[in-house]
Amino acid sequence: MPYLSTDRLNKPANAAPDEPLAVADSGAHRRLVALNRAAERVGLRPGMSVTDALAIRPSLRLTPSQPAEEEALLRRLAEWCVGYTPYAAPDSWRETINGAGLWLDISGCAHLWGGETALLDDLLGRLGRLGFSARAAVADSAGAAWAWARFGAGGMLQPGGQRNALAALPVSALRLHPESIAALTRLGLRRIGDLYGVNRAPLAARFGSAVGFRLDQALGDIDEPLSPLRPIDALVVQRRFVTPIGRGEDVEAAVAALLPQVLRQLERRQLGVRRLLLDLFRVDAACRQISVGTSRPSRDSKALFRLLSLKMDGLDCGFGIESLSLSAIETGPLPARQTDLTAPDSSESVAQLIDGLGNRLGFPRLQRFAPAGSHLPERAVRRLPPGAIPPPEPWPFLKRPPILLSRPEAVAVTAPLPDAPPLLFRWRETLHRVRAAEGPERLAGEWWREQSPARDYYLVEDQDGDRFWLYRLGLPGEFTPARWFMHGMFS
Amino acid sequence: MLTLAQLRHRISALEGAPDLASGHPPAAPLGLAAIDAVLPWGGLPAGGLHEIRANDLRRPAPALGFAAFCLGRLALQRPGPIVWVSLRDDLYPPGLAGLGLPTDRLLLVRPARSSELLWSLEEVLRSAAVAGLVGDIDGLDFTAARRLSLATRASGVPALLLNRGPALAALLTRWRVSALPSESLFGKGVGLWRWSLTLARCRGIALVDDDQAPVWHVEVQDATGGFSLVALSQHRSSEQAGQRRAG
Repeated sequence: MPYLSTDRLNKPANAAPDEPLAVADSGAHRRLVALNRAAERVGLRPGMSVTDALAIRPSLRLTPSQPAEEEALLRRLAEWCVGYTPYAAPDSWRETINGAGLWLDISGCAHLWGGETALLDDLLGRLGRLGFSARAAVADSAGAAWAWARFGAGGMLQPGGQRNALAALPVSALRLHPESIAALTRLGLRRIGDLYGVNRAPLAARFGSAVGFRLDQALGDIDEPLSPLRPIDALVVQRRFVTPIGRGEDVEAAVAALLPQVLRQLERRQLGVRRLLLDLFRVDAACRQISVGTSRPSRDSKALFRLLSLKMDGLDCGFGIESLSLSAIETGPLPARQTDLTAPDSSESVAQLIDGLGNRLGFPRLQRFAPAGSHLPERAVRRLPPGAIPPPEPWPFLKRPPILLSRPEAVAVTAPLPDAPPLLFRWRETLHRVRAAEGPERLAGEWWREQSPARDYYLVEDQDGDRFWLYRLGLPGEFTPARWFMHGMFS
Repeated sequence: MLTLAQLRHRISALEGAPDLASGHPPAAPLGLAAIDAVLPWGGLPAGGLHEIRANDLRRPAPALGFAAFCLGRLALQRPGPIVWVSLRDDLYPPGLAGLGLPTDRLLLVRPARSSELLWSLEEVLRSAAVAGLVGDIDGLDFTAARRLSLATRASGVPALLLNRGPALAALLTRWRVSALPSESLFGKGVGLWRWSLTLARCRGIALVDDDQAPVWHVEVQDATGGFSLVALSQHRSSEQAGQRRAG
């Protein structure tokens, strides 16, 4: 996509496409990084300084470059391309050429579109209607397709034809670093074909292994794996619509039809869903994703559909959804089981409750508790994930309040003696007169952690019968005056 | 011709009161005969809302303690997790265990926003696998309370609402709780927890005004075989309140 940076800007504004437009970086010497076709026609080139460009064309429209947003757009487009093949990824090579690219591994997918040529036409046609000019090539190897789309004529390369087709292309079509390209050119090796006959050993000695490696990649002698956006073994079921659908009910009906297909295949493999991803491919090349997780592997279509539909509320369908796919991106073993028709399995419905709550609120918002061998009150509780079964360990047999302030609050205290319980204390603007008190319970800091003074805890009851848990920080006499804190409330 | 019993049955169905014949598990007794005798169901029934509020909203701890105690009683009645839904993060399980709550069955649900609180409560109440629920709320409007009431009637999950806001509608019972000064055996230190419990509303009993609501003074005891309430002196006898029961 040679003009992605400028197409992106033209798209919303719908500006005249024949007006020169350039994207400039923000360095000290501002240089053009991308141009549209009209700007190239008036003689501007990427790498030119902004002052030179303005001298050539004073009416040039300049915009600052936004690499992060371009990257995000490219990623969105790659996600949209998952509608063509699950192996789609944005191209990350940016060393020598402007213009972003997308990888699509269409092996095994092309027949769904009536052949490779038809797929290519469909892809380019759609991108073109969306305002993105693009060039594409299909070849045996990823490297050849990369070169042919950018430097060659584009389109189909016959199987096995890359050796002849690439021979006439410049060496910059090989995804080499600029220094290597310059050095090769100095040696007179300008075309890829010039490299075919060269002895590899001196080439490697001079340029490292990159040149030979890229050449082999382009010719298909070395396999080049793409790193797709999706995990490869994900189970994907897809549905395409003749006319785009836009109503929430239609989308739900389509999902309800797809879900059993996924689950049937999982059942055959004795797997259950841990995370389900629903991709909605919109007409305007955007892709909406809905993902739901379960706390344990599940094949319950009713429960999973409920989780999905909870998240589909208020879905933005844009101008319509043309296809959707449902993938089980995380799975876990779940053997087939004979279901008991008479009694509903209660552990199953607890898991459903946890999934329902967790997908809306976030799973960290659900907690279970277990004792955590520490004598400090704030460290005595271990928080467990909601699916965990806490060990039936008892808590230490101590008087502890059911409410513990996460941050102890300072209180003003009147105590007759430095190590006596308080007589009066003021907390949150209220004066409490102590009727009865119990303590102190001395809790020393954990010596293997930070240096912290010991605390003396007192259980006090005020004139109304309300009971509080106060502590004095430090040993008597160590602090003057002693500092007191409110840590909890007994019921 | 309708018999009186049939008529009562029909009225209670119209009122939405839980019905012993509806297949829900029986009510959970609070373990103090004087209170259980006044409650028409013999305890806290499943399938309805129970409001627990502090007498003085600035002193919420005793109400929270009573809610934890009641949840522990509900957990004795049926299996499954007990759920506590709250926006706060100051619950301390070792202290809850000291009120008879089985913390190994406790699931804390902490929505981030108050807009998610009602949804969470309803979601929990729709799941029949739950043994009981405490919802820490700050008032609910009539529609919301009605929704929760319908959800608990459908699933049979007992719902205790620890309310820190304006009083609720669509309730089976409303309890007001405050602390009472404790009495230590040895005259020193702090004794067992004592509460004053007021049954401010109860469906099936006509409570004309607050002054006539039954009040109990109780002490929480960790007796062998579980926690229980022990009656202290009473302001009004349960027999008096029982006589005011109207069909």
